[in-house]
Amino acid sequence: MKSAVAGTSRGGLGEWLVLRLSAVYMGGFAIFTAAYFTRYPVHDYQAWMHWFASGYTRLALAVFFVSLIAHAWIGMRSVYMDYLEPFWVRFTVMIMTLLGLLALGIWVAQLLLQVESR
Amino acid sequence: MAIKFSIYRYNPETDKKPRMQSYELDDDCGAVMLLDALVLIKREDDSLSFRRSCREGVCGSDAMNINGRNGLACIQPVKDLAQPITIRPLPGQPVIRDLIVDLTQFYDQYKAIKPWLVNHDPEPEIERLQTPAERQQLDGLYECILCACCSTSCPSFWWNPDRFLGPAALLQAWRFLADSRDQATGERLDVLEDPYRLFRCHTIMNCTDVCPKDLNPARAIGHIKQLLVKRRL
Repeated sequence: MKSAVAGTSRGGLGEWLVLRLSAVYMGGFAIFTAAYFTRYPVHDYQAWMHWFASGYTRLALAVFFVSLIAHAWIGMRSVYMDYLEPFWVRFTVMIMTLLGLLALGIWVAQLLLQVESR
Repeated sequence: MAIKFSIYRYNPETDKKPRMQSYELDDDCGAVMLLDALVLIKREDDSLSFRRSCREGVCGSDAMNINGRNGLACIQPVKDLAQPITIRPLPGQPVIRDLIVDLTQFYDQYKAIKPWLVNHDPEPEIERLQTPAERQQLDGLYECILCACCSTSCPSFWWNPDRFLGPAALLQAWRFLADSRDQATGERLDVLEDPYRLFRCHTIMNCTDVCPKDLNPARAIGHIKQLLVKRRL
C-alpha cells in the first residue's frame, strides 16, 4: 500500500495533548464561573465592569479564549481530515477556518485590552 | 412459525447493485447459533456465500454485520435476535461476494505494526522467560483473533482505512509494546506517532462495544497515548 510506505509525519501527539488540556481548562473555567456567578450574582453593568476589570479575570478569560481557539482549530482540522478528501478543498477550507479563528482571536484581544484602557 | 432472514446478496461480476434477499427457516430446524442457520439456508440456496471455519468463535472467519452490529455468526444465538434477522457484510470493506469482504487493507494495517517480537539478544537455549506479572500484561491483548469486527465498526477506519491503523492493529501494537521481551519500543512508537495512524482514534469505542472476545482496543489505544506522552515529557 503506497501510503504506508510514505512514512510517518511525526505529529499528532502535541495536538492531542493540546486538545485534552484545553478541554480540561475550559471545563474547569465554565464550572468555576458558573459557581462564582451563583454565589455572587451580577445585576447591572457596573457590577459586570467591576468583575471584568480585575486582572485575574482578564487573564483567565484570555487563557479561556486561547484554549477555545486551539480546541476549535484541532477539532475542525480533525473533521476536515476525515471528510474533505480533495487536497485543494481541504487546504482552502483549512485556511478559511484559520483566518476566521484569527479574526476571533484579534476581536477577543481587542475587547480584553479595551477594558484595561478605561 | 418460521424464522425470517433478510440477507445481503451481491455478486460484483453479475449484479449491477446489491439487494436484500428474504429466507425462512422452520422454527424446529435445529439452528442454535446463527451460523447453523446460515449453513441450513445454504443447503437450500447454494449460491449464498459466506466464510466460516471453526464454528466456535476461535478463527474469526464468520464475522458479519448482524442486525446492524458486527459479530461472529457462530457464537450468536438465533433466539436472541429480532426478526427478520438482517445480515450484511462487514461495513466499509469492498464486497467480494455476498457476506465475503476483501480484508486486504485490514491485514496491511496489521502488518504495518510489525506483529512479531523484536529482540536483539542472543537466543537463549530454551525460551525467553517472563515473570508471571510480565506475562499478565499480555492478558486481554493476545486473545485477539483478527476477525475485523472492531476495525470495520470504527467510523475513523471507514473514512481512512488506508492511513488509520484501526483498533485491531492498534491493540496488537500495544500487545508488543507491553511485552517485556520486546526491545523495539522506540521504533514502534515512532511509527505510531502520526496524525493518522494512531490519532485518528476519537475514542468512539465501537471497537470495545462489538469485540466478540470482550477485549478492549480503546483501552489499549489509551495506553499507547500515555506511553507517547511519557516519552515526550
